[in-house]
Amino acid sequence: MYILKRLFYMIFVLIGVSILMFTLVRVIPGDPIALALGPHADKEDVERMRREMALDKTLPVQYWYFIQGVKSGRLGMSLIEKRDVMEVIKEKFPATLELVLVAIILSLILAIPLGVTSAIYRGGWWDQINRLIALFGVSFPHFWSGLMFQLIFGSLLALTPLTGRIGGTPPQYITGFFLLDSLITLNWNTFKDCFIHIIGPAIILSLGPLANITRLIRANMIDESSKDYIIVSKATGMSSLIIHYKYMLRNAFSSSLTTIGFLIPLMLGSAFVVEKVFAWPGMARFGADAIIANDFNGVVGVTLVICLAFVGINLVIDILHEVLDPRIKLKK
Amino acid sequence: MNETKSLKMREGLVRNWLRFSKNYLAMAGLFFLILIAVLAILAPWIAPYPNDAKLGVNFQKALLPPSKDHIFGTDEAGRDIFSRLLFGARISLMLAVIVLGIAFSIGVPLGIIAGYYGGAVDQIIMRITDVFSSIPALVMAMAVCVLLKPSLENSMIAIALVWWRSFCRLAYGETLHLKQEEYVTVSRSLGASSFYIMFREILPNMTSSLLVKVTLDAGYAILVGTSISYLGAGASPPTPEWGIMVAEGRHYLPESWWASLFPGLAIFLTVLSFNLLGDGLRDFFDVKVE
Repeated sequence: MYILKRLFYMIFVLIGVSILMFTLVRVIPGDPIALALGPHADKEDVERMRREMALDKTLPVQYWYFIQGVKSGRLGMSLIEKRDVMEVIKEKFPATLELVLVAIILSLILAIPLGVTSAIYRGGWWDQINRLIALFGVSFPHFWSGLMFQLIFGSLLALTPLTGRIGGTPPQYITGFFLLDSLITLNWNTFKDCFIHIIGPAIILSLGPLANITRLIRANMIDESSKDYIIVSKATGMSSLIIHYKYMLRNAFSSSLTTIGFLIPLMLGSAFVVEKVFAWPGMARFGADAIIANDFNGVVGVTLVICLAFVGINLVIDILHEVLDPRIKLKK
Repeated sequence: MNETKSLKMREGLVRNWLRFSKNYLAMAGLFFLILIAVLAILAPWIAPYPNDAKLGVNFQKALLPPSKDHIFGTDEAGRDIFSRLLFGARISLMLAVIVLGIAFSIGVPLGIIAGYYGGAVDQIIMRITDVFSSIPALVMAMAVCVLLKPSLENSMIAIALVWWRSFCRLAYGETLHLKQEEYVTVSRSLGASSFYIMFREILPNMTSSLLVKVTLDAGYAILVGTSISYLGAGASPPTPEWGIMVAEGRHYLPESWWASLFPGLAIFLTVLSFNLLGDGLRDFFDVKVE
């Protein structure tokens, strides 16, 4: 019953966003078609394309066509890519997802020990340093930290390439994640190639989440530390390592999950900037280009994917909560 | 009678200030913000090359490295970067004030009304808020800004039109909790109007949460604003906007690093100051605001 309610809510938000964005991009003054075809375009061509994209119809009719298209897996023609937006997204989404996943893994690897030790030494100098790191992390403009990363590690130290996703030929297509595909095919050189390309944008993208997750784990660990089971465990003389990392962290992490999940759609937004700076051939860069170029179908398509990620992750988190913490019943 | 009351209040203020001023990080943030604000206000008088904030092109002086004459160097058109940064501070602070001002006046009343009345009103307002909340602020603000035609003013309006949702959610959550308080029940039974209860009883009691939110969001709004300009959907050259300055300077990396380093550093320091102060206020008031 609860799941059904959540699903209904998901569909509501998706329809709401599609209507909002659909209307928004179509009331743009000026003529996106004429703009896309260039100044020397034939007047008849412009007219024909406008008819093909149903721009001569009223908004509700256009939306009806759009929904019909979505049902058969089409999102409309992209003006900058000159093919269906669904095709573009299918091709570019794995690159963005790979980047976001590597970034979130990076931030978790660092944030968990930082958050736990911060909570243990709460109020001490280590905690203060961590607080400062966290505040630094959320204060960087991504475009600038990206450029500075390129300046230092790309130009000065020549450790990483400046831009792009891969230098040589891409690995055989299995999952679309280059790192994973090169691992599966045991292609070490390609793996190394992909790794040094992804590490820069992933680090830049992970700074914000790293800060957020550290603070969150710290706060939740402190909440846990005053609970009865911890006091009893301590009284029995159980090793503090086991108490902290096995029992407290498990509960603290479970209550942090909701926020961590919310970070992913947020990162998809930040990826708009990071992918532009690092010329990462992903969906977010396409989204940014689409917005600037008035590619209305592209804008609606990309925002819908982000929104789908947002509501989908919410649902997954609700289910995960129950797995991690059986006290929460989904029926509630 | 009144005198002792005001004396007590002053005493309380002093005590609170002493308690707050022990937080060195927050004080550093506050100090920096005051400094930036003063520099921004005095920009026309203290900038060494005030004309460089506009189109003042001087190609003979293009891309000079930092020196005594130009402490942060010059940009590709020979303009003094330090002077332009001072004028840029006005733009960034103005952006924060305008965005948060509009977002606050839309979001907070909506959130209080939704939380106070509940039922259908709650459902309608909060479901619309949900729809707005499911797209990252940067993405939607960029789209709205392009729709309005890219410019500095429109980028401010666009961000504000996206930002109200988070104020709405905060005010909604606080109202749900505050309307259970006894003083609200008492007011109601004494015949106070709903309007009075919402804006005279409930609103003042969320001041500390809102204050923390405004401080933290000011930095975040500046990040979004400069990002929009950087991507080419906001302010356009030759505006001395910090995001634009980084975008222009990046073409001359790595040789002329100063052209993009210093404007970015200005953004970073300003945002960091807001975050330091906001984090300190959050600890001080002991409120949970994200």
